[in-house]
Amino acid sequence: MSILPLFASTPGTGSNSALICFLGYVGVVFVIAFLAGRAGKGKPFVGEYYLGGRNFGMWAFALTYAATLASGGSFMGFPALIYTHGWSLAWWIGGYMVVPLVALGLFAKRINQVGRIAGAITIPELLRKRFASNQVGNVATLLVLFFMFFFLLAQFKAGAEIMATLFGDVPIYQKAVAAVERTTGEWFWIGSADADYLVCLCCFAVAVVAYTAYGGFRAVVWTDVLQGLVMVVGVLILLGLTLSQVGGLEGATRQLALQTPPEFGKAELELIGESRVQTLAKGTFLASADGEVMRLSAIAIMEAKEGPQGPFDVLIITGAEQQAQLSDKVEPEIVAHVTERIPYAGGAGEKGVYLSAPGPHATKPEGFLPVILALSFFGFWTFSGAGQPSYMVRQMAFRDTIVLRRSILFVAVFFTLIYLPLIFIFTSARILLPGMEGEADRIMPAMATVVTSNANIPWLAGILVAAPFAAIMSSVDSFLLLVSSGVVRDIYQQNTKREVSEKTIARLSHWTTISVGALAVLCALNPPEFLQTLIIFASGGLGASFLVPVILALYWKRMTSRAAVAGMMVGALVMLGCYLKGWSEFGRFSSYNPLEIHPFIWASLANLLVAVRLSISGQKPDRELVERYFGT
Amino acid sequence: MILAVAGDPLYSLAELVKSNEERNRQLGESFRQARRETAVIVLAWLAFLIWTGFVCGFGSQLKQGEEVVTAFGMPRWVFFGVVVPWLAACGFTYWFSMFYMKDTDLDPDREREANGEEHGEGR
Repeated sequence: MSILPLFASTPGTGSNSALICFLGYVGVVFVIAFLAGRAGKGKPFVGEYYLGGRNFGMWAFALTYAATLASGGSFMGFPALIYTHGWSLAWWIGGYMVVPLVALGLFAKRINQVGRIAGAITIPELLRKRFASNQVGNVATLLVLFFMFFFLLAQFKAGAEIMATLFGDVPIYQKAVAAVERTTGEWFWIGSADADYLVCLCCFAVAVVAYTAYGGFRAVVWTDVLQGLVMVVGVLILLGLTLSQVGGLEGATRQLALQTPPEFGKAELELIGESRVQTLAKGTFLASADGEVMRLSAIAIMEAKEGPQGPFDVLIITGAEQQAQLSDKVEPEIVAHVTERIPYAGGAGEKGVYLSAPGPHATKPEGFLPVILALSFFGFWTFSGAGQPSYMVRQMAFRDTIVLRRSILFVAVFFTLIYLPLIFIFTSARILLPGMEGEADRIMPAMATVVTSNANIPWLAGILVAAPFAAIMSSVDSFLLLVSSGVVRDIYQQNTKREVSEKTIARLSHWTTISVGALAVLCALNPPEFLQTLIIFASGGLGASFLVPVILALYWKRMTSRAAVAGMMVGALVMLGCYLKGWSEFGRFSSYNPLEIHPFIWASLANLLVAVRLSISGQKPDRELVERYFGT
Repeated sequence: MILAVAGDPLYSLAELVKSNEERNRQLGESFRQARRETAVIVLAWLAFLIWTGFVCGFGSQLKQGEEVVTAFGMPRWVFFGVVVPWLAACGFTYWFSMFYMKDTDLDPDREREANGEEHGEGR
């Protein structure tokens, strides 16, 4: 086996050149947003700020759609899962092969048409007018605001973590962190967040909120175009560098076949001889007397005394090949004594488990991806993707059907160039960066830093890290806009009795965008641990609430407003119920999957049943309304 | 309300009814075409679900002690169960978007709007 270049600890230390490269990128995003804001001046505010005047061509439409769909989850959560569970993730993400076709082909044409007939700017507004019912609009708005907020939290967390990894030990950044630590240490709520996370979260939030509030939808779309291109280029460069360093995909797969899942455990640490080691960084490699290699799961402070100290949490690397590969990275002045070990519940000790499905799992004996769950994910990605209001609203913005047809194809190619390479890169990451299970959410920036350092082009890490950062920014900005449009358009404008001037609406929109951003930052200070769980909950909830009512509203003349309201509420409640049950059962934020089927599928089915049943039993919709939206 | 141009001197009542019928006929036609396209998409989704489900479901199981079989550097089940259908899905998407999907007028009320009817963003 080849010995590969490795890093002893999390390579979170970005070089200055990477930082400059990254900041340059953020600067370009700002310039684009500024130009977009100026381009929209003098046009009717609401349609321009929230929908860019419904006049987007292929590049703008396709890239904004694809970039929004590929959120922080694709570049942080997804790589972390590939790293942890291996090739089974190829099947897990397989649904994306038909996402462009389904998400854009299923109802883009109709939603654009109905949106124009109704003069609607948001999805709740579209439903409100399609059913001529305020109740439908209000329920839809509340559901969008509720689930979207979780989405914002997840994206803010992801953005801040990437910045923390990239800035690492840059002097100015460290000074800022120290200053913040001193100032906020005692503050309620804020003081409980890590100072480095707090600094990054605030920088990230100020940047994104500023350009979204200033430039509106047009700025979001224009920056999405840049961000989409950066994503593809970043992923392809990372693929080339990674494969060249692991000896090609074949070489990586062969090495991966020998790997077995690690074990979680505790170890007592002992100083050898005259050692002066005091602090061991998180991620330090250690070895026991008989050569077993492990990694520290958290920082360890040692006292200058003889005998074992601890115990400390460790991740024990298994398999002779991996241990031999890591032996020269071990801290030589410490010897570890393992006192407790907890093997994986699924796949422990099985060679080849990373190459097969269901894949290993730390707590589930049945593994990561049982067949039924894999099949339901195929439905989840395609249809929950189609059911997201943030993507639906984009489908109201393209100019004509020629743009739509070309965009479907464009997005298909775009996703192929992103998702397949991501699988290849992060299965190989297990070879390049072993023992990252404890901080798998940071594998993407960590890989970017390692492969560029190995290739002697550290500045390139800035561009590679910009790719997931771009994905997150392009999602955050559109969610921000969606939430503020919900507040301004669907709540304020609908419920205010008097005539409101364009100027007031403009001011209100800017301030709502800023306030929603600030509130999200406050909540994201202490976010749930698992990024991907949060994202799947939010997107599943939105999909479960909106997919069925919107499809029926667009394609079924018989659908009634009462059925739409009941369907949306049942969908959301089933989704919430499954997560609450998951919480009480597993003791953490996680979904309960009845019969191993994702709750989104159950919630959508319940939504469909209720909507169809109530529509059929209810009064026929007004003929004039039907003719208006369906013709004859 | 669409027919809010009552009183507009440009339109006589007869012309109004006629144009409204024409609008509804065209809209109905584009609605039916969109419905056909949706049906094709759902069938395609089902076909790809079965393909990946079948190949991955049967091919991905771990067999202890057996030599790993790869295709183009990845496990064989991934190549035939994910990569090949993925490329096939791209091919299907090309056919669908370039040849099957029909262009249609997205704004049936545009002409009325031009004639002064209340419509669109400003409301």
